[in-house]
Parts: sequence; structure tokens; C-alpha cells
Amino acid sequence: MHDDDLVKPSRVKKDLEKLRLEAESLLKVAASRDEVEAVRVQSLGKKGSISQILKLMGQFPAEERKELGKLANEARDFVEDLIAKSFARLEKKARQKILSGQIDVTLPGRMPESGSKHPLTLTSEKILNVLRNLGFDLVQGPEIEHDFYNFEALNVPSDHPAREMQDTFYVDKDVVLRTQTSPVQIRTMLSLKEIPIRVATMGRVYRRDQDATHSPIFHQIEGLFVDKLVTFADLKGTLITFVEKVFSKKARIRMRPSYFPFTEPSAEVDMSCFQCDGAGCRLCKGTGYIEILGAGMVDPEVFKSAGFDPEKVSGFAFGIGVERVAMLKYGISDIRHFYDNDLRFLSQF
Amino acid sequence: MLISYKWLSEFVELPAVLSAQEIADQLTMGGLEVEHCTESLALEDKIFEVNITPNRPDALSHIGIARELAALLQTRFYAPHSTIKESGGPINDVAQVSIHAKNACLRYACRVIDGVLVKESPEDMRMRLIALAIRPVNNIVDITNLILLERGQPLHAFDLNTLQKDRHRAVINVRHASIGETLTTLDGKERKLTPEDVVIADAEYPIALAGVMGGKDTEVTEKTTSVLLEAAYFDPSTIRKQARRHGLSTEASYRFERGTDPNMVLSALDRAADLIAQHSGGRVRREAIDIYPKPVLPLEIYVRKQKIADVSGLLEADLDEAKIRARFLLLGIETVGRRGDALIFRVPTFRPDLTREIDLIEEAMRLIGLDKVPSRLSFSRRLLAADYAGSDKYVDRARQSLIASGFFEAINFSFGSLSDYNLFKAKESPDFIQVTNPLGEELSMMRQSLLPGLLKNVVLNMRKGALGVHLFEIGNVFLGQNSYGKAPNTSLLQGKADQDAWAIEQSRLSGVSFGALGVRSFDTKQKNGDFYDLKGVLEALLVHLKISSGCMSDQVHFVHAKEPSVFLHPGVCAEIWVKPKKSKVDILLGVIGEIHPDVQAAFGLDKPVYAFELSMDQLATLTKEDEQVKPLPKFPEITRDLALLLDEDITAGQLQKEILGDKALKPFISDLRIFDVYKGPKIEKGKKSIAVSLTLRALDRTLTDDEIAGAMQAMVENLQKNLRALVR
Ligand SMILES: [Zn+2]
Repeated sequence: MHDDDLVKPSRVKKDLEKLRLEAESLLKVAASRDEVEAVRVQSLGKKGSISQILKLMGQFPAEERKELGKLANEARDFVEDLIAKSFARLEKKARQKILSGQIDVTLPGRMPESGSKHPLTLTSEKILNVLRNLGFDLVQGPEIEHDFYNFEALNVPSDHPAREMQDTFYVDKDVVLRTQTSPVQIRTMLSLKEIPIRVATMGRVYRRDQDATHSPIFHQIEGLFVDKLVTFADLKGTLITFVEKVFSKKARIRMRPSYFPFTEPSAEVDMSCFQCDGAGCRLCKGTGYIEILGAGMVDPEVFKSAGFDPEKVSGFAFGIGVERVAMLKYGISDIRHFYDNDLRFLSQF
Repeated sequence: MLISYKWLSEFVELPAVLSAQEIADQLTMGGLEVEHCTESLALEDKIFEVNITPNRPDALSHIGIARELAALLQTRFYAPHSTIKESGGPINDVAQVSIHAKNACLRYACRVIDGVLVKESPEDMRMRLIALAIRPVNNIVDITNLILLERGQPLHAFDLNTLQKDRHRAVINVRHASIGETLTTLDGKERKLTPEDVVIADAEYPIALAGVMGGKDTEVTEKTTSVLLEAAYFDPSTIRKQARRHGLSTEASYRFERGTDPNMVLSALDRAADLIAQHSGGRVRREAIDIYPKPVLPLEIYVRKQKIADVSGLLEADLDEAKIRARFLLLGIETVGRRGDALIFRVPTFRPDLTREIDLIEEAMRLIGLDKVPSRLSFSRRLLAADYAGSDKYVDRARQSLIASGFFEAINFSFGSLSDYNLFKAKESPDFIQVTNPLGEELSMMRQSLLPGLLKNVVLNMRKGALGVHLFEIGNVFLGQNSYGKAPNTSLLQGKADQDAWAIEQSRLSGVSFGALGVRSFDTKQKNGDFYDLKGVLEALLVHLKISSGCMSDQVHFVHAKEPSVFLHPGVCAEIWVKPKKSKVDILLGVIGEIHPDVQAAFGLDKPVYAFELSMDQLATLTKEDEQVKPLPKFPEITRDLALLLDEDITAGQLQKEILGDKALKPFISDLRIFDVYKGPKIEKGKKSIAVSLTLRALDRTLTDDEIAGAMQAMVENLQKNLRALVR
């Protein structure tokens, strides 16, 4: 600090005064805890100014030492006090800054744009998941189909009046756009040859029909179960579980005798209306029930076409229209919405 | 079929406690669905609209429905009976009948009514017909229609005096038409006949298209004084074919083609003849002509009682034999014997749908009520739930990835117009599969790409004001006919249900991206997407399906297409090739690019559209499940940035390949990112600058600065040698 060995007490006093002034001016502008801390280290630390000054004290007589010691302690107290105040000041400033940093939380967030699944996909996923949990494996078949698989093997020979139930698109002689997913039943039985068979299929089917409730292309899901001694009671149990899981636990079913060429006995399956729970409303046209499925026991003729002996195996099949379920579930009145792909529609799912 | 409730009650005892609506509900639950029940104030009647399935021709009449109700309600059925007052000479004096088309016409009967006065029918008869949607004509024709509605037997009345005669007798000949013959039917249309057609002819000309419609020249008019009334049974298939051939569907053909009762012919004929005589002041000649060489006999069917239980699952209590027999009897099905466990039933000929044991089991279940069948789920214990991680899980992962990138799923028709699709068709692609009977030209071609449909969706949404349209679709395309023959061949179905398809059907995943993309907010502007945005979406998809491991991936290559698809911009398109692990053959996954400006213009779009089309089959084979994780690195990583000056025609891919393939550096590179590409005034013409950031790390130690500097230097020298690249 000084070149010469002899330091005068007056010099020490001056140094202490300088220390006070320096610390004061530095702390006044200190803008962070680190800066304050630096001043503390510089003035009061082990290698700081005060320590240096005190080291020199040994050379002075006792009286002067006492006086200088007092002055040094005063200087230290002064600086310590200033440091404490500086910390307090900074703390207060930091609080104020946090408090003043309020933003407009009502401005919209930067939302990542994401798309969505098509409602028909959502609906068929729901149905297929239920069928999966009931043990039905997923199988697929072609959309352009031989007359044989689509009609003949399903007990609908070429001049059968049942062909009028489904107006058919043709692409060649005896080649059709499949009118139902049922040909996959025949294909599955012919390809597996062994029981038990428990499969579901989902896909596009085609009928020559177009209006607000009919689309020339729509989607069907079908289930098939073949084993020994399968009865209509098994069909009923499966459908009750199916409807409860797909719609609601409260849903009840009602089976009405009907006719499909490939099942015997056949039934239309109605479900208690999920809007009014059977009391009758606009959705169910006051009947309390909604037609939802077609089902039946596999016809012996179909087993014969598919290479099984109807005396040895039995089974059931059921089919459901995906569009119909989606229309009911989402309250969609016009089937054409599904194929327009209008984003104002798609973005609601 | 429309049914009058009042008329119905003439044939069946209807319990007074049941309302018309409740009767309708009974029919519905019995399998004859009453779609509407409307009130006819004028007739003080209720009209049921019943949906009758094609297997139930017997229910296409009031008597049929009445019989059905009697069995469902277990009440009395009043079978109609016919009485007839005859007078005058025998019919054989004035008419003769022969059947040449013996396979088509199994029975032909007729009567002659003389001295008729043709006039308007009485008010109540006309009102009844109108309520049941039949147009009244005159008293003769109206009665034939009335009997049709009552009993389901079609009848036709000819003006006897208009028929060509042979030795003073009117001739009726059921035969095939000859080449060149024509017939003007009642609807006024002249129809060319072929030898396939079965006609009713007189001595010379066809006078009716058998079972479908009568001829204009022989119809009953106000001048008619004698009527020849026909009732017949025609082979259903014959009538169906000729009705189709002539594009006609009449009340008569509708019933004949489903199967009428051959044994009802005479009673219906007599009833009609008698009514005609009553209402027209005419006389029915003595005797009827009835040609019925091979009478159709009722079938006898064995039904095993155990089989009823096996099919239905019904409980013992509901399978009471006496009850079933009593119910059957109400339907006219008699029990005629027993052999062992089996009962033998005789089925009346008006039920052509009951030919097998299973048919009668269904009938029994229908009458007992399907609500009596218990519910059972016992079978499920024998099989486990199907595998959820099944073959289609990758489809869901693909969907989720695209959705997270802002894409909406679309579903389009599988057919469209030739003009739309031609824009997407390369010269060597297969011929379109065409729908022979489409709903219109615009729905006639089976699609070979999903993109035309998606582009139409873009147009629609743009017109509705959407700024950005990002869509994907998963669906089949149809690429011509399969090679193995036209006929089905079930032996091809070995373990897989989708073999033996007539057409080549492939599943595709396609997407389009148009306009604004990304986050839109108060302080950031959305930009229009471009090729690299869509490429990024695809790269993310491939990462999600674990086909690619990200930007470091050496499995996936986007290669500028040498022969680009016709619908893509030749400069902005790439093929996506994937090299599967453990395979030397690269697989073409699909294409990506900008839609060709010509196609864009053809669709009327004002901004570029970017598109991709991928093969779902390839995605399925390439997708990987559950890979093992890599251990986390133990030693720190170091990053080095490098800006390189390159000839303009060197691609980023070439540079990346060179760096990743560098011998010295290769073991250390854990990431490579291109963070700047510059072309412009700051650098030499014909050159560009690419800046890359490398992340380096060793698995077994901390890399030293010296080590890295050396390796980097060696790599830079290589780049200079191989790509003429200079460090900037
Ligand atoms: Zn309701």
C-alpha cells in the first residue's frame, strides 16, 4: 500500500476516510447483490482495505493505536451498515420489479395448430375396440368383389329377390363394388378352415343410392363367431355387451325378427334411445327405440359355401353401419357432411 | 305394402283392448315392420305401411297379414271362401288355352264373364283403392286389383272380343315370343320382344307380357261386353328376369317374382269372377279352364326338437311342443307325423320361404318371441381378448403423428370423374376400373390416387374462406385387374381373407398442404407452408413410426425424382426411399412434392399445394415397435460449427453423406444440423454457403480439443477433395 515503512497516523486516518467515501460511492450505484458483495470483500474482507490498515497499527504507540482502532471500528460499522442498507434497497427494488411485471393474461396463447381424426374413424375405433375386447380379431377383404363372395356364397343366387334390397354397382360381369362387408365372412371361413373363428371386419361398402341419409359409399363393421354349439342366446349376450360398451351401460336392446339371406334366424336389433332412455323423443321418432344393428345365426347354406358342415358348427354374425352410429352419436342430420371434408365440420372432432 | 286396418279386421279377430298402433307394434315385433300408421279420416280407417322382406310373398296381401296377426295374437283367422254363380254355356265354347312355355307357367286358369257393363266402380271401392295407392280404372280392372290386395293373386282381364280366334274360340297361348314380335303394353309403350320373353298370345299376336303387364289392344274398355279373366302361376325367376329386361315393376310382377301360391289361383279367380258379375251385371260362364299339369304339393319338413334348442338357446319351458304346434297351425303349418325326436310338419304352398329345418326353427322362434331367448356370454371364457397391438396399430400412430402436425383426416369417395383423375395418371399406369352403372360420370372411375379427392377438398375449403388447408386420407386405390383370371378361386385363400381379389387394391396414405401453416398469434404472422414444411411433417411421421431416427437417419432418403409423377412440379418433387435394416434393397415408400402448376390451375387454386402419397403396405412392413433404448452418454459433448462454400449444384444430402461418412469423425458424431443456407451477393456467383453444426462425443472418454481439431481438419480436407468445399 505504501512504499515507505514509516506511516503516519494521519495517513491512516486519511485512508480510513477514503475507505468510507469509496464504499459509500460504490454502494450508492451498486445494481446487484454481487456488486454489493464485491464492495464488502474489498473493504471488509480478510484481504480487504480495513484489514490492511489494521495491520499497520502495530507500529504506533498505544494511545494512538487506541484512537486509530476506534476510528477503524467506526469505519467498519459505517460500511457494514451501508452494505446492509444496500442489500435492503436491492431487495426492495427486486420486489418492485416483480410486482410491476404484470402482463395481459387475457391475450390469446400461441396455440400449436393440430388436426383431428375423422368422425367416422373415431366411431369405428370405438366400435372396434369394444369388439377387440370381446375377442374379435380384425380381418380385411377387397372392396371390388366377385359376385360369388358378395352374393352367391351368401345364399343370394343371381335371380334372388333379395338382390333388390341392395342396388349394386358393377365394374364387370359378375364383379361388383361390395354391397356389404359380409363377403369377408366367407373369405375368413374359407381361409381359416378351423373353429373357433371370432373376427371383425370394417370397411367401405357401396350401394347405388344417394340422398340426405344414403350415401353411395358408406362404412360397415361386421362381427362373425363360429364354434360348436353357438346359440342365439350367445348372439344376444354379445350384442347386449356390445351396445352397453359402445353406447351406455343403460342401453337395452330389442330384437325383431327380420330377413337376411345369409342368416337364419335373422333379427333387426333396436337399442333403447340414448336421448330419452326409452320414453320417446324426436330422435327415436317417439318409439323409444333406435334401429342400430342387423344380426342372425349363420345360415346353413352359407356354412356349406364356406366349407363347413352346418351339422357340426354353428355361429352368428352381426353388422352395423358406422355412419348411422356417428350420425346418432354426434347429432349429424346429413350424411354428406362426412364426405365434404369441410374444415368447419372436421375441426369439431 | 299398404294395409287397411278395417279390411284386415274382416279376416282376423282383433282383440278390442288393442289399439291400431298396438296391433302395428305386434306386427313389427313379429318381423313385419310397420313403418307408418296413418289415419284416413275419409274412410274412418287406419292405413299401415308395412315393410315386407323379400322372403315373405305370402304377406303381400290383407289375408296374409291377417293370418300372421292371428298367429302372433293367438286369435282366430277367418279364411275367405269363394262361392260362384255360373250360368250360360261352358267356357270351352268360347275360349281355349294351351301352355307352350311349360317351365315358365306352371298353372294357367281363366273364366269368361259375358254381358258386362263397364263403368265406374262404386264410391267405397274406389276410395279403398285410392287409400291403398291404386288408381281406380273401371269396375272390372278395379276388382282384379281388389283381389290382388285381398289375396295376393295377380289377375288380368282381357276384352274377349278383341282376341284373335281359332274356329270361333278365343285362343290363349302361353309361349315364348318370336324374333321381331312387338307388344304395346298398357302404359302405351311399344316393346320389342325376344325369344327370352314369355308372353300370353292369342291366335296370332302377343297380348300380354306374362306376369308383368297386359297389352293395350286387348284391354277392357267401355265397349267391352265379354271379359276373359286370367289367373296364373308363373315361375318367379322368369318373371323377375323379364320385368328387369323391360325395366318394369308392377304390382303383379312384384308378387310373381317373389312367389305366389300356385294353389290359390282358382279360388282367387272364382272370387274375382263372381264379384265382376255382381258389379257389372254380367254372367259367369259355366266352368273354368284350369291347366295345371304338375300340381305343386306342400312340403313335409322334419324338425328335430333338440335342434330348436341348439339354435335358439331357448329354455326348456319355452320349447313346449304342444304350444309350438298350436302356433304353427295358426299359420297353416300342420303337424303330420313324428319320427324319433323329430316332428314332421306340412308347410302350405303359400310359404315358399319355408323349405328347410332351419326355416321352421326360425319360424318357431319368431312366434315364441326373440325376447324369450336368454342372454349368454359363456363363449368368451374360451378365448382371450384379441391382440390390441395388432396389425393396424401403425395406422393409428400414423394418424396421431399427422394430427399433431396440424392435419385433419378426410374421407372421400372411392370414385370420381375421368377428367379429375386423368391429371394424375401416368402413361404406363393401369387402365381405370370403371363403374358400369355409375350415379353419374363424375362418380364413375375407381380412384388410382387419393390426391384428386383431397385437392377437391382444398378447393371447397378455400371457397369457404379457409386460409390454410392441411388434410390427409387413408384409403384404397384400384390399380387395374389382378392377373390371375376373372373367376373367383377360393383355393387362393390360404390363411388370409384378402387374397383372391379381382382388382389390385392398395392402401395409401396421402396428404395435401395449402396455405397458412403454423402458430398464429397476436405477435407472429403465419407463413404459407412450402416443400420443407411438408417434408418436415413426413420426417416427423417417419420418426413416430420408428422408420427414421431423425435428421441423422441414414435409412431414409429423399431423392429428386428423375422421372417425376405427372401431377408433381418437376423441380419440386422427391421420391422417398427407405433402406430397412438387414436389407440391401431400398424400398420406395412414396412421393412428395409441389402439385404441378398446371394441375393447380386446373383445380382453380391460387397458391401452390404440396402433397405426398405413401404406400400403407410399405409403412406397415417398415414400422417398428418397441425398440431397445440406447444408454445415456457418460461423457460431455462438444459442438463445432462450420460454414462451407460449395458449388451451387452440390446438394445438402451430398454434404451430409460426406460428413457422416468421414472416417476420422464418424465415431464421434452424435448430431448434425444444417442451420444456414446462403446464396447471394456476399459470396461468389455459382456458389452457396451451407453452415452445419456438429455435436461430437466419444462413448468412452472426454474428447480433447486437440483430438477434435485434428479430426475436423482431416474432414475439411476431405470435403475439399471430394466436394471442392472451402471453409468460409
Ligand atoms: Zn328417444
